[in-house]
Amino acid sequence: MTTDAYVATMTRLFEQRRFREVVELSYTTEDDLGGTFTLMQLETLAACVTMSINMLRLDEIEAEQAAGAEASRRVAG
Amino acid sequence: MSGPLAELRGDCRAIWSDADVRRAAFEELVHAAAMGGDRLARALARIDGAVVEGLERLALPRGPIRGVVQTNNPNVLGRKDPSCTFEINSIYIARFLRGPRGTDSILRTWVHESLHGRRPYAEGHLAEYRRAPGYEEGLAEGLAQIVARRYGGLDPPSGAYDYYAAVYRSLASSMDIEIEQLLRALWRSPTGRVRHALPLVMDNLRRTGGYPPMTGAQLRMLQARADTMFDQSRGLLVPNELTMEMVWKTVLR
Repeated sequence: MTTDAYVATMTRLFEQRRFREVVELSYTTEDDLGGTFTLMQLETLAACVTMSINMLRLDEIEAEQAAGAEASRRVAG
Repeated sequence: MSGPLAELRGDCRAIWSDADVRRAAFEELVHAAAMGGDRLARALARIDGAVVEGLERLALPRGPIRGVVQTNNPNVLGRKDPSCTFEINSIYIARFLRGPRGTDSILRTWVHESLHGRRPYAEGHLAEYRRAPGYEEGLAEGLAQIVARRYGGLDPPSGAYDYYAAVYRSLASSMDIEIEQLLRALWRSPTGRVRHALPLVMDNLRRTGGYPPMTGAQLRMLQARADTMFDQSRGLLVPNELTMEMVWKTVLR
């Protein structure tokens, strides 16, 4: 896969809200692709991966909050 | 450099104004990341100190953070976590250092993430970011571009989050408001409250400029248009600011 194709894939996955796949694929290196990213590609990838991580972190935080609320209910009950 | 950043002195000034010093500081960070320990802490503190002092001079101070740490994800340049930890990645920084404008990108990103850290995240920030991350990302990026270009004299390429920054630029332009004034007003809201603040801030700024108050229908339409343009799915699009301005002008009809 070329660097162009890789960035296009990452962008498409992000637009489809497939954040976990974006993060999993983000560990692909330039050596894996056999090419070098341009500055613009690096900028796009950084935004794509960072926003995906943020979205997944929101799920984690929400799950932690739900677990905390459930524990409080049990204690109160 | 111009404005308050021109008053910086010493190493902070050199990191902002001298591309060679800036590059050397980031190269040291990359080398130090492999060593860890005090050397890494010093390299991080040197750059972070310059960013923090610059933002304080610009009256955009960063709030307290838990610290700056290395993250192992190779495709994250910088990231502010809701836990108030600021993450950077030296592998990604090294990639940016290959180009002549790369140091401008890194410094702008450091500013962007620091702007997210202006205050503790508000309750409800999960809902706003999940629904429309562009409210927060566009605010941080729009201001970071102003800090970097207008005051820092840097020339980072437009790239990450530029669509969302362009949404704010086109909104300000279509309603005769200065973009920096709009973004500084929104910056006073913590992460998670920017969406709520936008219609009120716009109405206040317009009235200050001598325009009549916006009607309830106009404010609701402004919010609806903003929700669409700041949606997650648009984050990586290339912006067309003329089209955006036409969309915003329909709000006032």
